[in-house]
Amino acid sequence: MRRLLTGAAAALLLVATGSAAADARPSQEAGARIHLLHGIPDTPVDVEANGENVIEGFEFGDTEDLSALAGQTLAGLTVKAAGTDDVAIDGGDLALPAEGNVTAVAHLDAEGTPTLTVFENDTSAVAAGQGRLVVRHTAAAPAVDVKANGEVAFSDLSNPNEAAADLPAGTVTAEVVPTGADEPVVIGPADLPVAEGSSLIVYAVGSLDGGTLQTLTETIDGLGSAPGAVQTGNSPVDDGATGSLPWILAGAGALAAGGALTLRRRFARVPVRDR
Amino acid sequence: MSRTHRLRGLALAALVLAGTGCSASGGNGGAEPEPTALPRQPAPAAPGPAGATRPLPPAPPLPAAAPDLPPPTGLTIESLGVAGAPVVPVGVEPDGDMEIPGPQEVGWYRHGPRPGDGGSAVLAAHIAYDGVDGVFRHLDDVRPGAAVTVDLGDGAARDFVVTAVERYPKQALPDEVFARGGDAGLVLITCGGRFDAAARSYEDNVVAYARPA
Repeated sequence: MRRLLTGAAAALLLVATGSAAADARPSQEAGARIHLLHGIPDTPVDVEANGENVIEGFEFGDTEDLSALAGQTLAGLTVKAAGTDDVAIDGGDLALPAEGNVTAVAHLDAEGTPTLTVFENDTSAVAAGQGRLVVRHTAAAPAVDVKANGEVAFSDLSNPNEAAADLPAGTVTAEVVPTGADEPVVIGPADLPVAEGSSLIVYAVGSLDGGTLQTLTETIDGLGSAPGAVQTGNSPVDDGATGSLPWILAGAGALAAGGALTLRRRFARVPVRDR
Repeated sequence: MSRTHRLRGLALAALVLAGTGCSASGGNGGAEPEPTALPRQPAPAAPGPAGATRPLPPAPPLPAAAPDLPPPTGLTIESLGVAGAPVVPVGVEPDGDMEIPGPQEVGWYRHGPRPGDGGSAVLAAHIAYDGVDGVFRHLDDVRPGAAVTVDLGDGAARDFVVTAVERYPKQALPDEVFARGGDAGLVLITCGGRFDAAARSYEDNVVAYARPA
C-alpha cells in the first residue's frame, strides 16, 4: 500500500502543478479522468494492484475514480471474488493514461468470462442542440443490433466494442435485438435521455444465458457548443440600419420633423460602430 | 477497508485541486466534465411488451436534477416600450443557427441557463421580420442602467439591469454569450448594422448584457 499511496501523492502533485501551469490550455488537458466500473452482476470483488488491496467490496454498478493515479501503472492488477483469493480477472499491468478520459470496465466477455476493457471516452464537442449516445457491448451475449426509435441505429455490435452517434437532444427509445433479427428484444425498450451537450454512455452488461442482461449508464457533461448564428431579421427597418436616436424621442412626436436627420445619423454611425 | 478509504480520500483531494486549477483558467467550452458517478440501475420494474422473451431491464435513471428556476415566459423593458412580450423556449435550427420565433415573440435558448440561474441566459428576438417590427426593433437604443424584467413560469419575476450594449459582426458573436456556467447574466440579442437586401439579412448582432438587479 505504501507504494501506491506514494504514487497517489505524486499524482496529486502532478495534477496540481499541471493545472496551475495550464492557464491558457483547455482544462481537460490538466490530468486525466479515469473511472473504473464494475459491470458484472452479482459478483462483489476486491481489486488488488501493486501487491495490495486497493478496492475492497467493489460491487456491481459501483464506480471507482482513479483519476489521481493518472500516468501510473497498476502492476499485477487482480480482481478477486470479495474476501477470497479466487482470481476472477488477471489484469496484468494496467498503464493508466496521463491524460484523456477513459472508463475501465470489469465485465463479461461474449462467452461469459470476466475480463477488463478500457474504453476511451470521446469528449469532443457536440454541435449545438445535440447530444451523444454511446453504446458499449460488455455483456455475455452474441452480436446485437441497437434500435433507436424503431430503426436500427447500430448494427452488428459485438463484445467488447462500442458504437456512437451525435443526435438531436431528446429521448431515444432503444431496443437491443440479435443482429439481423426483430426479436427477441433482449434489452429494452428503454427510454434514454440524450441531453444536449452531454454524452450518455450505455453499457450492456450481464449474461444473456444467465438472465442477468441489463444496462449501466454513465454521463459526461460539458460538451456543448454555441449555436452557429443568431438570425433575427429578414427585412429592413427605415434605412436598413438600426437607430441610434433613442426611439422614445420618435415616440414623443419628433417623427416627422426629425426623420431626415435621424436617417443620416443612423447611416453615418454604422461603420464607426463595427468592431 | 480503511486503506480503500484513504485511497479514495487522496483521489478526491487531487480532484479538488485539479478542479480549482481548472476553474482559475476560466475556460468554459470543452471543459473537463465533472466526474459523474455511474448510477446503478434501479430494480427491474414493470414487465415489457408481449413477445419479449427475456426479463426487461429498467429504464435508465432520469437526467440530472432539474434547473432551480422555472423557464421564462415574459419580458418587459420599459424604456423600449416592451411590456410583457411572450417568451417561448427555442433550440437550434437544422443548420445549427439559433431558432428564432415570430416577430411578436422572444426566444429563450432552452439549451442554456434560465434567467437567474448561473451562466448566460439568452433571449433573442427579431428586429424586423417580413416587414413587421419585432420585439427587439429598438434594442440598439437600450442604455446601461435600463431595467429588464423576466417573468417566470411560476408567476415570479426576475429583475435585471443592462450593463452594456455591443455590436458584433454576425460571425464574430462571442461564444461566451452562450456560456453555460459562471455568474448569472441575461443576454438580449437581435440584428443590427447594415441590411444586406440580397441576403435578406443584417450584417451585425446587437447584444445587450444585463446582470441581476
